[in-house]
Amino acid sequence: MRNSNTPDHIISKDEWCEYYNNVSASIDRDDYFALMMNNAWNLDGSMDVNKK
Amino acid sequence: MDTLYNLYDKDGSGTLDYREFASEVFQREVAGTPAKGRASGEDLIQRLRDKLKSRGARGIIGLAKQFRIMDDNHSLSLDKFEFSKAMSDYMLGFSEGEIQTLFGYMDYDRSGLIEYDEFLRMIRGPMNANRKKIVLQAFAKMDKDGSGMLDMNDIRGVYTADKHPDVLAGKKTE
Repeated sequence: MRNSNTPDHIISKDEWCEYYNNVSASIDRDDYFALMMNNAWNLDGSMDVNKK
Repeated sequence: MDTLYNLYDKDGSGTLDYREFASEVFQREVAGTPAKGRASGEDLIQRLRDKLKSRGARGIIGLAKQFRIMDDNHSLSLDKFEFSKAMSDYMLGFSEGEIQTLFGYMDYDRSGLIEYDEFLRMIRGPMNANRKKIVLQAFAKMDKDGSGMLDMNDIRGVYTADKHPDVLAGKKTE
């Protein structure tokens, strides 16, 4: 919501965090937020289908 | 000159964003009261947060419900009038000036209205430390060269388009 409107094709850490601030605002529970992040970015590596 | 600049650059970012500039100029010109003893937007919003909490509006659904109650004309945004009426309904004891300050603080895009998104984002505040950690972890995972920036090369490393319907159909290549 608060990121600048001119795309520069580079995502800075601040832009990334701001995006997730907005996502975070709509999720009540911490454990659900963690689950969502893990599903989206496969942080624990459990869904690595390419590496068998 | 430096002193004046630092006064405006509240977050110490070295740049004056529009918000910093506007809040400083706006407060001085319109309110004309010295900043001393004046509750900041963050203090006021914390009191509003506590009040909403005490009314049981804890989660998103509760907050959305409170927002709909405040939004008398169902426009999905709060104008100044709706907002100050809501603030007196909540009996927070804000002065007229404090309500103006809080309104300006919550109206991030300075549209003159508090949209539902702005409301929710403001009341919820930033992520807690736990969530922030996870978000940074995901960022670090993609940022292979550790530059603090994500560009196309970083994305290419983690994102596979080989299952995209158009690729499977041979319309596009990865």
